[in-house]
Amino acid sequence: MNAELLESKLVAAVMRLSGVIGLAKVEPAVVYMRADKGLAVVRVKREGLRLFRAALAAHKEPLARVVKVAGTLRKARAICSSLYGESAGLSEGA
Amino acid sequence: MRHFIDLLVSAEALTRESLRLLRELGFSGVGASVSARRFVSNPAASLETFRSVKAVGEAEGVDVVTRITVDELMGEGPLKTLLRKFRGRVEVISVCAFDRRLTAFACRDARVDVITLLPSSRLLKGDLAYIQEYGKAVEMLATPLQAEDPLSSARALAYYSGVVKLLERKKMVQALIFSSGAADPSALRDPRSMASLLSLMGLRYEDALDAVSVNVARLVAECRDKLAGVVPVRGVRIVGVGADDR
Repeated sequence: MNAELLESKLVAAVMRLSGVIGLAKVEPAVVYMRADKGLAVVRVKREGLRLFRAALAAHKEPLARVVKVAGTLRKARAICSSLYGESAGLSEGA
Repeated sequence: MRHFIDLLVSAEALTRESLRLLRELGFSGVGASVSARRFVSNPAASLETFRSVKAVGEAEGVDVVTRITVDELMGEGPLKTLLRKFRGRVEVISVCAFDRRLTAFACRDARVDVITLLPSSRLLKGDLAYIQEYGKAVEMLATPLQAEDPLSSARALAYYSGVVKLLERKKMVQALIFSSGAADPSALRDPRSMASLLSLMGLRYEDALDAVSVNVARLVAECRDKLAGVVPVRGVRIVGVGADDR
């Protein structure tokens, strides 16, 4: 699965549970993906985090599992590194 | 630190891999459920299943709670027989609230620990009074919300939202538990996502987290105390045996 496909599936999951208004609150975007490790960093709006998680829980198939929630991309990168013992290779500006 | 427990997962689905998945998702306990009909038809095989799942769970670091779920319509007579014969063999017994008669019986019988609500269930004032009096739990499931058809999942969401409101009004939120109801590992979700889903139904997020952790742990501890004889009858707890004065 590539980043575009994952993002479209996440958008569809949020749309299914909460419609366009919910999607506006969440605005999910895949900012980094390592398909070989089954790892992705998904950016959501802070106020839409619970809605996003609820959409994942209410989706028929398991789309993604939330490993950790971070406030910054730098922290997300550190978590990725700690998970796989290597630099996840995220660009600072992503 | 919270300890999350998913109280309803089919015992057949609990392989070593799925128990590992549960641990990775953040659960420290799981309810291994066998349907009442299957249990009655072959109790020895079901008890053997429980034993093996418990052993694997122990190896994987997941506490396995044994459970019988009455998940199809059953008359009062067969249900009474089931409770009389097997109450002492499993840790939790739950009844799905299919119809009024079964729901009313399950609520007023102290041997039933959990009333599982499905989108068609009805709870009346008297049922809630019994649930409160006997310290039972009201269980809601994630599976009806994961239905393929959006209309049926919307109905389930609306129904469960009503139940949450009712329990809040009656100050019985601590009796609410939320389980996945998974028949296979693909229906398992992490506890915080489950709590997020529950909080969409109008519950505070902290209360929603309690519904997958504290409330379940309390129920399991009470059930285990009853089985161990620490609570021989309702309202009596043996805290210690005094020394002989003679």
